[in-house]
Amino acid sequence: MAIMQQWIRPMGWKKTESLNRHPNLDRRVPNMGFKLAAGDKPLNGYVIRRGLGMGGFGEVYFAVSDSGKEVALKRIHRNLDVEVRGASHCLNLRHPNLVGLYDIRQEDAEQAWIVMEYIAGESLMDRLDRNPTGLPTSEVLQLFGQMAAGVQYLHEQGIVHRDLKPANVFIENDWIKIGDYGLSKFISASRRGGQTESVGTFHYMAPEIGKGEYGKEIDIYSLGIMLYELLTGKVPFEGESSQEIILKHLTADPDVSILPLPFRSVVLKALAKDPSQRYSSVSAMLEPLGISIDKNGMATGHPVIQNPNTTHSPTPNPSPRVATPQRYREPIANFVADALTELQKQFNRIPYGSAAQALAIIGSILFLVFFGPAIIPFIVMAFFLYVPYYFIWYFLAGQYYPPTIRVSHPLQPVRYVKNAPPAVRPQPPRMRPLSFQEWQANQRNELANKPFANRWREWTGSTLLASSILGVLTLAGYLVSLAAYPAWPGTTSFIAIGVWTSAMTLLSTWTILFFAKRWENRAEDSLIYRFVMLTCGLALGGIGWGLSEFLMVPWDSITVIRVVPKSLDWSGFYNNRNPSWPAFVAYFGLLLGSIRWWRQGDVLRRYRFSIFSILWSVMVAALVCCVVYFPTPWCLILAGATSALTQMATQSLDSRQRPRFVEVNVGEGKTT
Amino acid sequence: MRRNGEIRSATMKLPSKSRFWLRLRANATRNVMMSSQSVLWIDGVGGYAMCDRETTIIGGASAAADVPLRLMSDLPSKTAIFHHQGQDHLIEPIHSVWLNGQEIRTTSLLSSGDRIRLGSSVELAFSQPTQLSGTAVLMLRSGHRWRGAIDGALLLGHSCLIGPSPTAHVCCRHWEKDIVLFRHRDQWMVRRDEYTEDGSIRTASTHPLKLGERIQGQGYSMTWL
Repeated sequence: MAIMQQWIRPMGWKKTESLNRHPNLDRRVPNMGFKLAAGDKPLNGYVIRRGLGMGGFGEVYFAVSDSGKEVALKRIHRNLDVEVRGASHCLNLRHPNLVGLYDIRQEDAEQAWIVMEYIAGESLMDRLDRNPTGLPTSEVLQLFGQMAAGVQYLHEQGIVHRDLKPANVFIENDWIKIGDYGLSKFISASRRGGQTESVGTFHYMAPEIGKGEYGKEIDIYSLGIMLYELLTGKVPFEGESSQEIILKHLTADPDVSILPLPFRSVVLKALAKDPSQRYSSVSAMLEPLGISIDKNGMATGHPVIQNPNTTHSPTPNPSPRVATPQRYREPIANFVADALTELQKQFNRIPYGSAAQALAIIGSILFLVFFGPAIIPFIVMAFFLYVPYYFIWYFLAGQYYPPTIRVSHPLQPVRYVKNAPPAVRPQPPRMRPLSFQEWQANQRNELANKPFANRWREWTGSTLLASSILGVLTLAGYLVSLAAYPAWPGTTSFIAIGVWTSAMTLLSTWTILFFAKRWENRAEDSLIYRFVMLTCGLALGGIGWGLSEFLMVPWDSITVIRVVPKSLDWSGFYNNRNPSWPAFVAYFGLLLGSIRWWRQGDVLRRYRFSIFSILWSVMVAALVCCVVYFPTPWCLILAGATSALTQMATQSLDSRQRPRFVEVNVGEGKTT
Repeated sequence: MRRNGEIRSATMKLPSKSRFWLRLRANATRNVMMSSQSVLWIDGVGGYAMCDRETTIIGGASAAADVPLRLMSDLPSKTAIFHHQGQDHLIEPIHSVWLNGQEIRTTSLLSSGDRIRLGSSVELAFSQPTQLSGTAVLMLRSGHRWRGAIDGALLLGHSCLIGPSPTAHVCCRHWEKDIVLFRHRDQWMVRRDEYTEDGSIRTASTHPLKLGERIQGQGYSMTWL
């Protein structure tokens, strides 16, 4: 208790009744007792219009000078001869985030007036009153950066504000202006009666003030409290009485778990009990928030809130690392999925567009070309073994798996206090993770605004790009096969099949590119899209047959894996082991209809280039081959090349750059 | 009378459905010319122009003194006229006036929450917290200022509510009770709660509001100038 008494005394507070009244009210309500009315002329040359508010040491009035200059007049009751001389340093401070001081006028021995800049706006306290659950993060960063810039300037000038609180911070057209600076140092020393001090200051006062220490760390502490209040709408240390608040300042730890991530460590460090543990300067406090103070003393910089991973957080109680959720319950499927994800990650770790990536792609394509026919039967076999296994697993173990229960918020006990102001409910976190799908949906809405001409230009660009890439790939493939099969490349049959595969790959890619571009700005309707693709596939099959007839491709002699028995002409699909038009039509129709190709050419796909997509396409093509017996490996090469080409030729917005968090809407919070 | 003729010709351009307001206009023109600005200065809250005529002209800073609402901006001296009849408020454009993002050429009905843009940059928010009182509030939403250092304008109907309640025309968050201003014949009256000496019992009192009067009470004070 003694330390608390000491804590109060240096600043000259009397322990009066009003200190113990409901603190929530006291923090907000200034005691309005304006002695002067509109039209009064307390100071030569100024006419009072109205009272503005109660400052730390007297009323503040809005006045207009005879020539029309709008000013704020602050009345100081006592003789401040010494202080006024000391304050002349503050009079000449100049910073965009500080309320300008024009003059100090002494009309008689008992009364002095400070003539200040008039801010035609609200105070931060009003802004917080209107937003009881805190402000949006972007606004917080914008306001806080300016506020800190003003305080930093004061510190550079050797002045500690000592009385930073929302009531002393003003907002005019998004400009922050800090008021009441400098003077508090001189005035608090001479204050005896403590008559008009607003109690609210307790909420923003550093613990070491009790010991009479007034370093600039107390401003850092107040800034920390205000940052907390801006984000959540409430101060970290609340209490029923002033003593309780003081005690919390001295002992309690702030609950930072409800703050978004980069703010947690900043608030924790700024609110350290030991002043030496706090940030040593305001700019050091701004640094983790991605704000810096430029040479003009203005806050600049881009907030890093979008990318919380970049901030290392020295949080004492770090939140438990979120484990990646199990995607499949079945262990084998899960293992395969994990392995593929890992493969994908490894691939994406290679810098995009580098030679290593190109090598990896070409390597895997070659691997597929040469060993694919040998591997695919195993894959197909594994699949056929897996299906019965899955059913057995499902009936034996699967259905007894406990259902996953999603707990949104643990229930909070509610305290009922008689005749008390409505209890402040614990605020849910203001930010929640933004899922990939939501990001996609948002972006799609924005893509809807893209002019038709732009989309057309993009599509033309990607078709041309696809053509040139295919040209290069064909040449590379020719060279490779020249080396591998010296007997082949010269033959007409090889040229025919090469031209056929390239041409059909290009046509399929163009079709996919067209629809991917056409559907990029609307929500996916998978069934309809598949149907459209299937129809196009049928048409492509017709073209493929025509081309094959024109080139006279000797399918029989170039088929590597024979699945169709020589004797069987499979229901009219084959004629003497050469596919006839139904085989073409069925193969292309099934291939285009069974894969969601438009996703691979989507601007908003998850990865710019995904090996998994190519493998998947090849695998589906293999399955289609099992149904239609289309000559391998040409059909597989075609599918893989189409997938690779589609992804290469379309640009994509990098989903890894997307914002990881989104603010929780008011309505959204209620539904959980 | 040149002014009268000017406005007449302006109203003639209106489509027939707006002709109804013509009669109203003719009655009001005389009043407008005599109207001068009176302001309610509420301590700790702001200064509000009291516009109690049926028509109120709004214009730029260079306007003559007979224009009650003047903005420190590049607007012509008469940009628009606010009319009010009963509980309805209307805006008649004289120069470029935009209502909720659309340019208007005829007198249009205003509803609470409307955004009015005058010229290229001045933005006003029009609100009617209670439909019944017939009073509307105009607040600037762009970075401009009113002439005369006021914070907003009250287009007064028959009553006006000042205080902490959400339906108040002028929101005074720190007050304990609302104060009602209402029209009685040609006089504005104030109704408010008054405290007895011991501060416990309060009685509602009504008295006429005079220009230059200071109204003071528990936790509030204001002056009508």
